[in-house]
Amino acid sequence: MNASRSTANDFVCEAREHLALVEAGLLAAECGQDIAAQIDRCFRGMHSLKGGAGLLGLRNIRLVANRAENLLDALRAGTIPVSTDCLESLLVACDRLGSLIDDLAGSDDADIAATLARLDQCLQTAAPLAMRLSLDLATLEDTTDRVTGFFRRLIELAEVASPRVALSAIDVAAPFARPELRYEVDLLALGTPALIAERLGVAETCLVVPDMPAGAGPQPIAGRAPCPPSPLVLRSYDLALDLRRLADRGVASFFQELVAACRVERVELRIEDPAIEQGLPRGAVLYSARLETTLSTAELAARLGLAESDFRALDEPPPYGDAPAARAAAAEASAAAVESQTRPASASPPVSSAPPVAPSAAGAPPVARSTAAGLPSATVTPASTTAAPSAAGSPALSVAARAVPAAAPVGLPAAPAESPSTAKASSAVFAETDRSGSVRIQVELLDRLMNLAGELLQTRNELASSRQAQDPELAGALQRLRMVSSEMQNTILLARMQPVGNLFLKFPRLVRNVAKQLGKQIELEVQGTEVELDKSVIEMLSDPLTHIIRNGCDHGIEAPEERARRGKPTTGKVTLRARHEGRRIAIEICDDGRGIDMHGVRRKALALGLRSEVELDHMDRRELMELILLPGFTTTTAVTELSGRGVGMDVVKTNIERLGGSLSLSSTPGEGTVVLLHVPLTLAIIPCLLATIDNGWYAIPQKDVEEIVYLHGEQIDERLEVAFDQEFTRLRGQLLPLVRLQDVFAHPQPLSGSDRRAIIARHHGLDVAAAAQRAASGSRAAGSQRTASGSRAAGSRAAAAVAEQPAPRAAPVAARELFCVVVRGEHERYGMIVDHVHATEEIVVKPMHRVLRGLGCFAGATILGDGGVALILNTVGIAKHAGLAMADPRTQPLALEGRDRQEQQTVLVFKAGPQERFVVPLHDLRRVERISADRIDRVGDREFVTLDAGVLPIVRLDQSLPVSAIEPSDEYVVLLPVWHLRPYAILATAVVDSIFGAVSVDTDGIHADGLVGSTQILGEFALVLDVFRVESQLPKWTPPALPGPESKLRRVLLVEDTQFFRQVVRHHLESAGYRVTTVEHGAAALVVLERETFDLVISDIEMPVMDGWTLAQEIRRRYPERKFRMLALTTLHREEDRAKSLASGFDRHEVKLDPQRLLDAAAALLETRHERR
Amino acid sequence: MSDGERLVCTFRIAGRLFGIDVLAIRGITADRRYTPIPHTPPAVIGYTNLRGEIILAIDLAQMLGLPVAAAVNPHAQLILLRPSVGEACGLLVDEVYDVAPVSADRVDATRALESSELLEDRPWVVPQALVAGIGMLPQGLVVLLDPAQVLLQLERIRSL
Repeated sequence: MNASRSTANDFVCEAREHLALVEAGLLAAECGQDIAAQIDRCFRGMHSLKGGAGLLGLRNIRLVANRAENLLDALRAGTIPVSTDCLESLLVACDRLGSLIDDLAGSDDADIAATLARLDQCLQTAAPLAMRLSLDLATLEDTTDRVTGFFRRLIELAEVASPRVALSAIDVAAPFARPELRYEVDLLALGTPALIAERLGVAETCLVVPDMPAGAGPQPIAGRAPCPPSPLVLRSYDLALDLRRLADRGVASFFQELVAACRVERVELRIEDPAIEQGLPRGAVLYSARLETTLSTAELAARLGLAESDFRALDEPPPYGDAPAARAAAAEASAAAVESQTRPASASPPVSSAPPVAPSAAGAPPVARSTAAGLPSATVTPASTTAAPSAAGSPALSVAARAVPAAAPVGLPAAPAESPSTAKASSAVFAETDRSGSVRIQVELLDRLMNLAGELLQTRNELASSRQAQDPELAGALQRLRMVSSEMQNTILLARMQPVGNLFLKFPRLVRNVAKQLGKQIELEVQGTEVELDKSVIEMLSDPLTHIIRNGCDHGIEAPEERARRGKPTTGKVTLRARHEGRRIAIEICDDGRGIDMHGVRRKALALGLRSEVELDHMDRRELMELILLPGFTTTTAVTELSGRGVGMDVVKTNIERLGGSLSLSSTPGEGTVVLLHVPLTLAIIPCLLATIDNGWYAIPQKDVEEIVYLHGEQIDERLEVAFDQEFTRLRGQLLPLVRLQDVFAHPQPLSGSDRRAIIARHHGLDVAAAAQRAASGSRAAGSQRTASGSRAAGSRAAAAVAEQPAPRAAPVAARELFCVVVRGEHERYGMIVDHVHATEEIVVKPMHRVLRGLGCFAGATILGDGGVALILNTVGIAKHAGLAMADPRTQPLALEGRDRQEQQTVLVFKAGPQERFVVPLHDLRRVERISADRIDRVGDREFVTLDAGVLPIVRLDQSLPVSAIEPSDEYVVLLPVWHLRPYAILATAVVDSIFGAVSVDTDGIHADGLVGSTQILGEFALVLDVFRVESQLPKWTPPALPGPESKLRRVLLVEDTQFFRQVVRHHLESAGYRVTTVEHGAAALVVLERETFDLVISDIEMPVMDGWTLAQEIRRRYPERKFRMLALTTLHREEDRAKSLASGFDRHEVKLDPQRLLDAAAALLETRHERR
Repeated sequence: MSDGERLVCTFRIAGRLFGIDVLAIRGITADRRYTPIPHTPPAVIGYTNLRGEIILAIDLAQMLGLPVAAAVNPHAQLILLRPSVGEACGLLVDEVYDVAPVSADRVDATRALESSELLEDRPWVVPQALVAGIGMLPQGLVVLLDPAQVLLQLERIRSL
């Protein structure tokens, strides 16, 4: 293999795509969907694959692909019936090709004999059959069309040789005798005599296979010696001819004769001395071609009127099978020929019928040429069996493929042809992509781009922290830089996205195989193939999905007889559906099989000792079902080849969870099972909670965090309990083991019991026995105290919902405050004690260094906004290290919270307007923050809040919902929901409480876009928000250019009594990036000025209470240092008014209202002020 | 530089002169913040962010069994290795000097550091594995190190 690595990589990617399409096409053909079109597509895919392999010199791949292509060609031409056996052979060939492509370097050493033999076997059934046709043309002569039609069909169907026509001798004495016009011809055709006869529209008896007993056919015509029977073998000749020799007899008639007598390939036309400026070429016009015919050299020469020496017989006729390949090769030649001289095209009718392919030959590199799919110009003679089907559709395809040689989208079909929600597997699979707009990019390259974007962001941060950054102009630029670089990161992430359809492609085959093996009839329906996921997620989903689908087919779908007995359609159905759900993707795998047998699960769990009888009695359906997800569980009594080997759903679940996803099961006995997966869109960026431990920064993946408990002062003593060598706290009546991360990190070896006791002794300052005793009494007290608390939230949960501002860190031992992050490990929940929790951030995950593999406590590292590196915690590994993880679930007590999690959830109750209460599930929120009113920036009619250096648009619920408006206040609460496309904040006035429990939502009473419904909570009526709908109602604008941090905005006090002008002027100022406060008269302005500072005061003159001149005088009197500029904006336009304004202390007097003039004036005033400073 | 010579970047650790072939070096940087990584050998200083790339910083003094300064040396420099030599990896040294040609025939590959015995309580001290030889420079002897060994040895230590 001498090709460069990148070419080889391109080939591999492309070849896999071709294989996937071929495979899907074969499966669709097997189902009987539009067989001809499917086979045609398969043929083109296989052809391209072969071309690429040939180019790279991959002999074995080319051989297998070539043979498969031949078979497909035969199927396409209808010369072999499309049989299951053929399709099966082709699928096997696809598999073999797949394995060869996987190991490109070793492919030429692989043994492909079996695969080739199998394909050959299929092809042999298609070996052309020699036949002799003998019929009376008189039987055809009813209409002229019948005769011409007959001959046309004849040429299409078979290679024709040695035609003979004879008029039989008739008895002239007999009246009205008709002479017999007997036509006899030797045929070489693919198919049975019956098939050929039927296609020709003649009686089957007219066709004789030579070695059939003579006499079955008509007698040879008397009076004429039959031609020596041609040995019906295709022979190849090279023809080289100067067309000028044909000048007198006519080129057209020669070519007509030529195409009738032979199959013509590798046509080439050479014109010597093409000096166009000297007029038309006069030199030799050399025509050369490869001919295939059954005729002998002499016959051929005689028929074409040429000398025998014009033909050169080729020793070895190419096997039938190589024909398409040869044709493709000929394509280039003919393309070149057509390009160099279009005149012969008219001389040679078949060539002229081909579309001009000149552009392809002109600029395309060789790769493109040889991989281009079935070329129409390849077959010059219409007698060829393959000409007709491909001529119509392929020119566009081949030209397109040439235009962008190495092009392939990062993902496969970007948009399926049909409506995505209903697209069946086959149609989605075949959504052929317009590849012209895409390029293939290496993931590494994207990763590097991602790094660079991060670097850009960091450079900005460095810049921002320098002193010059205080300059407002620079601040604006920095803000934009920040937005651009994060937008860049997002875009790069998008480039990593691939449609999940790429993954789904392989499942039709899987289902088919499984169905076949099990003797079931199963149909797979695929929906949502267009949903896009990060490449790495797609890769990691492959195995779990395979397992689930296989399980569904094996355990779920019943045998046809059983289905019939139950009154179901005999064909079972498995549905694979992907859809967006917030920032996650939901993938649903449904089958309409027998469902999960609860009694079976119960019996099995008991038999395996996974759960005790008492435990099982207390489980509801869903909990029982989830037992299936435990290691070692299988319900089928018989272990089949496919599933039921005990390595099952637990592995699937673990893998999905490793992805940061979740898996849930539901099933209705007799009706089917639904497996629902939720996976994140991407692995590369995950939301994390940042925490500090010992001044080091750590990131805890948000998916692992359930809540945060904040303890301070005496609470710490009250709530921390010690049992033996483990610290606990009580959370809603449940014991929650605690892990002190500081100590975990201090011990390189997993903590032993004595380590843990030592840690406890250090933190509690007493010996373990006493601690345990204290804990025992403490827990009793705590237990009785909390029995009545029910579903009401404890104070700690409010702390979880509202991020507290971290206080200065105290020494760990004497800590009077304590942050406990409640996380989920593999099987258990526990609390991580950290020094502080900070914001939630979307971080870019980088793997740990290669030599640090095996550090269980860390899942990776990330670069923070300030350029520091933080380690990402692995909650499962930490639990193990701390000695918490009880690996064997059999010994683990039933997870008590499991039941709670099913139907109950934590919701946040909050108020926005004065009238309503709102409810939002806590898991829909990223965080909740209290902000003071002045942190809301207004730009135009939009509001923003800057949090964590990000600018978030603010949503007021009364804007989209029929609810009361928020009353102005000094302090607000903003809710930051989990977002899908862009982050935003919901403005609220107060958090009422967070409630844990079952919330029953009434979806009928109230309908509004953005609401799920209503509920009764805390004894009051509340509206349940649908944050995703709220997000979807966000206006489709991007943040304006200058919504920078409020301190960087110029602040303007607008004093104006007319409401109309107040709004108009304000709007203009805000659009220009000023922060505007409005008051209605001079007196109010003075009040505001006492509280806040401004860069500019713009005031009307004629106002109630205190007019503008008085205001100006008063301002200048009170603030002699002239900290701000003043502009009079009035309808008074006389010169004396202007003079009076300036005398009063205004810096400028402008007449209402030319907006641009106003803005210019304001800018000019602020500019001079700036310079003065 | 003649055929028999190679360029060596010289640097100081704990008052001694060491050298690394310049071809193994991607760059040199200073004044970095390091994020310690718990549960790693003392020779692992931690991660540092080098223009968006996370680099593992390794303390050569620790691996060579040299006295480790009690206080952090503010002038310490990080020698970044080429990916082929040590992927995403940098070596912390006290001070980098200049690049000097060392003729190959003046490199004695047989001599090792005097304190070369394996210390049981400090398994990460592996001078004999790291030292490629002793070279002669006008200003004295330079201990030539094989930087490719650093990650290999670290991996070996961790698997112990």
